[in-house]
Amino acid sequence: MSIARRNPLSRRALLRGAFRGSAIAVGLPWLEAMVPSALAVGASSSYKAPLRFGTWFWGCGVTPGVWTPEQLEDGTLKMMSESMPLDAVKQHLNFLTGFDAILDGKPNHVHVSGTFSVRSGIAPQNFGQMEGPTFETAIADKLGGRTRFKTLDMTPTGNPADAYSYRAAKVRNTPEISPMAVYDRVFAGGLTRETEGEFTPDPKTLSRLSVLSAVGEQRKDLERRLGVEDRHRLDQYFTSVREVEQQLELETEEPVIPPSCRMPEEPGETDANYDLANIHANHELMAKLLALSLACDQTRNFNMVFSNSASSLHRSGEASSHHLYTHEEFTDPDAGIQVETSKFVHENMKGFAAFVKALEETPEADGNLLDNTLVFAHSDTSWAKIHAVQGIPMMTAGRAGGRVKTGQLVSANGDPITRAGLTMQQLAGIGVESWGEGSMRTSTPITQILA
Amino acid sequence: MKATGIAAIAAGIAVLGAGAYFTVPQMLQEGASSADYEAPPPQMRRITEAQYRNTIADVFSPDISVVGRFEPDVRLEGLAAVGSTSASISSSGYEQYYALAGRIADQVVSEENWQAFMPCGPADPATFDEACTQEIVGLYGEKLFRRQMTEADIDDWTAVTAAAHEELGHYREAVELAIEGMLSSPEFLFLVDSVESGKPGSLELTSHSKAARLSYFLWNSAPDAELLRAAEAGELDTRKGLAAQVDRMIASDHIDQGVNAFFEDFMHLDGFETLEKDKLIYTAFNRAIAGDAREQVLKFIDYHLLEREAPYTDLFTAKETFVTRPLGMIYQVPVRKTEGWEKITFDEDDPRGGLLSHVGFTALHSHPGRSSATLRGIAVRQQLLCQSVAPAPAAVNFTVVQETDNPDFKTARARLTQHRTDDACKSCHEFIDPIGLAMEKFDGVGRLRMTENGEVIDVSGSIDSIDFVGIDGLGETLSEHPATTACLVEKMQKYATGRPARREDTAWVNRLNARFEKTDHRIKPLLREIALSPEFFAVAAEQTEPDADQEQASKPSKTEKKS
Repeated sequence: MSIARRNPLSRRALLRGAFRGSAIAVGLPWLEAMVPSALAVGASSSYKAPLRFGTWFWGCGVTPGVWTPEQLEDGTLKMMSESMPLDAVKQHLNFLTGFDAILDGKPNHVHVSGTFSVRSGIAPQNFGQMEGPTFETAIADKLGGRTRFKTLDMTPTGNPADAYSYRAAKVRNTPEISPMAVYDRVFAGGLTRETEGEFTPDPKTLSRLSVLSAVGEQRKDLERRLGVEDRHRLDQYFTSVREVEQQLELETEEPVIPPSCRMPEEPGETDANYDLANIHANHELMAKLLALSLACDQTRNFNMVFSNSASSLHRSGEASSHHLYTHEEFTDPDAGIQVETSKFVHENMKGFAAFVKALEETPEADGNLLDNTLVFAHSDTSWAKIHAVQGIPMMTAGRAGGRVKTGQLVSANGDPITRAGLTMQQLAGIGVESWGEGSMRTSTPITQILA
Repeated sequence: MKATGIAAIAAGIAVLGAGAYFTVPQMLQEGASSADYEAPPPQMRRITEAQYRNTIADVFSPDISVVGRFEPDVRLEGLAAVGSTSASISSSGYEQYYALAGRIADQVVSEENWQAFMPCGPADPATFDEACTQEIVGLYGEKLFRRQMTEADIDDWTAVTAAAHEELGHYREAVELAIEGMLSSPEFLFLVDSVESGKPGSLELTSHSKAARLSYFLWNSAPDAELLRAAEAGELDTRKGLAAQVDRMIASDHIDQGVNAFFEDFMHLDGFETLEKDKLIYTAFNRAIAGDAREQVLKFIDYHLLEREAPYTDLFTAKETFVTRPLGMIYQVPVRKTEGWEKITFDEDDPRGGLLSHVGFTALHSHPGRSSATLRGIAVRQQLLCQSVAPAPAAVNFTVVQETDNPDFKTARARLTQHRTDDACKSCHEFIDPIGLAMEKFDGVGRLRMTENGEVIDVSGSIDSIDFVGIDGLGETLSEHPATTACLVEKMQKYATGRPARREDTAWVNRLNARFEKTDHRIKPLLREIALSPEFFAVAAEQTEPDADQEQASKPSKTEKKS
């Protein structure tokens, strides 16, 4: 009892459902079982795909001069050595370059200040302490609506601390850390339901809802016992309770499953750590599961952390990690760059290309999932060797249901990096006019990418 | 950082501590809050994974399986315990806790378990037994919420159960949902202080909350029946009654659990959950070894501090530890037993044996592919001495640092010495590296080696102008360093209260330091002293004005009562 270890989810527990699924039909011919007949038959043309938004993060930035693509005379983008893996998907991308985290005299907390500035619009005073919610949670509130999961957060690194999405200053959204966990949560339980005959909600689910509402009743009594800070923490807690209630409420209604929804195969257990080969394998499985979760409208928001801030990625057999290389590797006199470091940037970009591909290869309505999605990718620094927060590399992928045009190279000249967060929020339909704090307060969206 | 500044002051005073001990006002010793002591507001601590597991085992049974993912800890001032008083629960986290509650409730009410856990039950599951329900929700409400259940509370939960029974038509299932609801409640997932007004204008913890503070500090679990009995009888309000309970708790088997939880937090042993070693470089290392290494540190601590009741400072120079057969691979010692633990004693001149030579320290503070004098030095400074190390400056060119295959710099010492010639790096690395370099005979997984790249490893080191050689020299130096014991006291006090450093607690910490010294740095008297301190239980109303909206929202409404 003295040592708390994380127990792997037992097979039995899974069959019961990672969520509250009471009756689960794993392995049933799923399409027939799931899709209401009205939708299944020739419904694809009438199906209006919703907008999805998510972030994709990688650590330790890029090497200046060899990542930013070149815009050719005809307007097309020519990838450089570090961005080369993106060549196959470049038509779906925008590159946002030259945007700075402006710290207003606050310290540059290495590998933290950049990320937190991009996501919360506030340069943190203290190391590792986010001072406000991150913008994509506002988008999740806006788009999440009536989906089962307001957001699905995941990382292939196996480390649940690799997450940069904060519901509030001190509430970090906890990511799933294995493909199996994503599968269990979204597909193994809750999603399947018998459709023979008339839909009747499970009485147990109805009872659970009234129990949870009784749990909610405790709030007032508790608030009386607590100080202001703790009441805020309690608010966060009840926000989380509310989201579970909404999931249960959805279970009491006849499911509306989009025609493009397909059931994935069980990914199986995998090793999850910073080993590059494992990262790629897990990330690819996760990307595919996420794509189907979006296609099945189980969520409309996501956060993927491919590699952590201060990237711990490493190749088997090497004493140094990506992060250690950025600081310790000599610049190659011929190449003019840190050669091994650059290889890791290359690997991160391969990861992003695979992610974009996974969305592109998921059909939806008359096109694919990427058409209706906006992915916002960024890193923690630009040049990791000196922890620069000027020109932190950012990209978008997807057309956001026609709201965004792609293939653009935006070169700002030291503009606040918050222009990106503001643009994403406005694209999601949030009526926010200006965003960010101090010198990073901005009311100027990046119009070059707006369709 | 501000907080560590205060800590440093506290540690500084602690060195002179003995004098201060006698100046503590008599009132404090008598158990009443000193008028001078500014008590903190009531608390709400998020339950940790270990506390959750222990609580379920103690309230129900160790046979109830707890399977699921927990919210990661938040570490503040080096302790997850301090982070727990500012952590909340994210949506995906709550989803997990809710599922966990369902799986536990499912087991608790199962046909085979009902008899063991439930005091009563109706003859026919289709009928609703109100009296029995009241008994059940009263019993488990008190245990899980760690407070007295009022009549209204019991009525509410009985009503919830009745409604579920009406919907489901089955008594066991209805009770299942009530238990599931309790396990999903904020009062279970957070340790929330209950207070009552004490002397005019002051607040006091209720006796149930006192019991909870004691048991989560000493046992890292829920109060047992005897502690609850003593609490209800008001015995915790007198020094004599409190002392009797504290002594009983310290003497019980559960004390390992509590002390282990502290050292897990103190030494950041949760790092083992994500610890990774390169498979090609360290072929012998695997998950089994990592798990054993974590447990080894705790077994070592239990043996020396609890079983032998040795001084804390002995941990740094001890020669006896425990190994399993997988650990034997790393230690390069034969282990006869194929299963379980075997005690081994290293020779006096063997570098192995002390706390710092454990895989749980050396491997934890290394990179996946190599050892790190810097990470180990930082761990000694921050974790064991409570000293702050400035973060690396952002705009530094590090390229002179390390290149493990550079023929001119074969050892970590050569590479780091090169590094320390850079002015920007120098000040910090001189503070850190000479400690870590003394541990270089232990590689990235904690295996003893004499050479690195063919060069004999020089393990001379220094700390605060004291020179020494090797991990033994470091251990001896630390065992005599005043910050070593002051740091343990400081962290233990923070762990016990879940509070960040406060100026108001200086006198208390000071007193604890003096006691610790007087009792030859033995752990049990320190636990006892903290648990008997009036400051441990003191609460006061929050000074800040509550904001108007919150006030409005928390007004009881007429419609609140359920039918």
